[in-house]
Amino acid sequence: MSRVAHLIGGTQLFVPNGSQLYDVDAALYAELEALLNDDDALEQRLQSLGIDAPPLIDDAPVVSPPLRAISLAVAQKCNLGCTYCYAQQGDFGAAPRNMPLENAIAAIDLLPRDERVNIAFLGGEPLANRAVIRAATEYAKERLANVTFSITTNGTLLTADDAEFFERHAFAVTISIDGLGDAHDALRPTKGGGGTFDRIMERAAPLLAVEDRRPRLSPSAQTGEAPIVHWKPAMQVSARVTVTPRNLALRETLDGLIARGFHSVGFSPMLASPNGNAEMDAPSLEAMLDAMIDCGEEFERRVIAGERYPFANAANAMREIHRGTHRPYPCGAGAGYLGVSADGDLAACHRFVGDEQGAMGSVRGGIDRTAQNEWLASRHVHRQEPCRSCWARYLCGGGCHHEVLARGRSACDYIRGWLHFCIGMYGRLRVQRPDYFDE
Amino acid sequence: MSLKPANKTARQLLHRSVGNPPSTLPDSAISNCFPGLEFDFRNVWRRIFVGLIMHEADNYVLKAETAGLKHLEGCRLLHIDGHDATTIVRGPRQSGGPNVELATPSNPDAAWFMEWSNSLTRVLHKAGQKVECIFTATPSDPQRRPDYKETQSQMLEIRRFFEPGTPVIARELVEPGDLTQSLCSPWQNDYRECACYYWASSRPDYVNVAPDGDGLSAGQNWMQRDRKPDTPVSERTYYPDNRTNFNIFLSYDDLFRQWQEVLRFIVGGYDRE
Repeated sequence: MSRVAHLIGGTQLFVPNGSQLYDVDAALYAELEALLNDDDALEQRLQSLGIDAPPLIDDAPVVSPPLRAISLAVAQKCNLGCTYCYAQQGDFGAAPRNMPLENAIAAIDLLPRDERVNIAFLGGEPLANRAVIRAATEYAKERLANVTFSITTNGTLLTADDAEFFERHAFAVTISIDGLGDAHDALRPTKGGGGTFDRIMERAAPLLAVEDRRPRLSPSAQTGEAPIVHWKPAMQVSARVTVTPRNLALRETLDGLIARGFHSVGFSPMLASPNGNAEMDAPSLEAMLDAMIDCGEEFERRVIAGERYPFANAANAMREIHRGTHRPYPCGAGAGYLGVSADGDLAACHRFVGDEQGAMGSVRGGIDRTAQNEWLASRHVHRQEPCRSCWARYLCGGGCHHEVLARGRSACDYIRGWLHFCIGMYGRLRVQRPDYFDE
Repeated sequence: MSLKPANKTARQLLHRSVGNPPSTLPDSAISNCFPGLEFDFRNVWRRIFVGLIMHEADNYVLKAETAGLKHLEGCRLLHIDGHDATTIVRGPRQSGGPNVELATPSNPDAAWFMEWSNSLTRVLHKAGQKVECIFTATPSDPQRRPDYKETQSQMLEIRRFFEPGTPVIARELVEPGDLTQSLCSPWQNDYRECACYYWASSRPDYVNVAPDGDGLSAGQNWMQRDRKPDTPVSERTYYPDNRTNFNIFLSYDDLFRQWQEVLRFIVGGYDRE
């Protein structure tokens, strides 16, 4: 593997520096392929082709970044008993508790008033503390000029009234669903062991019905239609599927959830659980990659046909490859994004609630900049192994901090395999549906 | 061998910002950058010497930025670090005639400035260093030949062209707006100036062109008097391209003031009122 370049499908050259993508002919492809084991020679050849550039990402870490997003663990408790839960069934290994409103307000007060910011409600199960969600949302709307909201919920406590509230405040609602029927029930049971799929679908129905009443416009579906002059933000209800060795039927899950009206559906492998339960091993990740590619190929067919097929992983990959996204971190955790515990402690993200590794101050004492800057220095992708020598390092950013710190990097082949497939798909879609990428 | 940029970061030069028309891309722009429709590249040379502002297309010192160089204002630069900045223009005065020095009353030395990008090539690698520059001793309207005797010498620092390690033109070389000043006016001055077949296909001055069967082409030239597509080729008459007598054809002023009337639009193959 080269750190300087990656070749795809006999026709594409990917240059990690700046995530640049080029189409090459067979002769150049063969020439570069022969150099893949010699990074110095490869670097020289890229230089002679005129596609060298100074490193767009240097070793310098981000320092004391402004806060742009927070998640509020409004309820550190949950009515479900998912065995793999990073929050240990919702309470993060401590006594169950709700976030008092004053902590939510103090956290919101840390956000800049005039910048674009996001507030996410998480848990545990956030709807176990609905009153604080509502009050904090109203407070944030009053105080902040440009705020968006999101919530990640297990869906079992949703009400028709929630649908109305989320629609009014244009929430991005994510419901955790791990499959259709039994597949889901086995992984996400109640604490008493009962299934939850049917209940979630019943509870989600009022939200999906609101979505259903609005026109849907994917980029390709927009062709030929009148331009949208007035666009009002509105609720989006997505499904997030945590993939374990026990629910690898991704295509069936994807098609089933899209058919049930979800705005988008995304998959994420279970890489590290507190007790090792349901973690993906190498053969499972290989099976998952096959299933993801199966879904991706369907996505490609549907996009070419001009149909909506909201497979979030593929749509996000197309957007990021098109932009040439390159970043020194996998996400904003510990940088522009911080998690807030029910007690008002700040953490690198929602997963580090109650975890000393990601502690970053408190809503009253403010962000602990020393801890934050140490985190940012140590988490830079140039400081990670084997990331430094990986071609996918600036698309991936080094992988979820929480999972990596708990279990190391067990999914690199899966991530590279998926990106390799997606870059190839991007090349084909650029030819067949250039309108999909129109800005 | 073929290498084509595919995504946005690879296609930065080809990236079209939201709201910009296609002509803002190099591959769909007319890309005549001298002086240019989209930008005037010559302006990158105006600040090549620290302390002076030169004319973008002449060896003439427009302005000194430091008091110590005021004496150079209006003078002409003849040599840079031992290399000539001017040359003597020779050629035939008539077709088939002998090569002679082409002096004119306004240019008695038959001298001409050699444009910047060529004359500076041999000294750009000395960016950051001072080199000896020879100017006319006093302000000079006419061009002067390389061996002109009344000169003065000044050591001047050459500015770097690029920001170090990048393909970005150095910030100190061009100020905001520099590259887009002095653009040409294609539908006014330059359309009149370059009357015949100069313009690229994106700005045609000859349209509806088809073979006429005799090995020639037939179409509407913008200098056709009636500009009607159905006038038989044999009956078409044209304005003479006379650049000194504007009464015969259009003047620059006509084009500036009423281009939409004198040029009009071709719609459905016809010149429309």
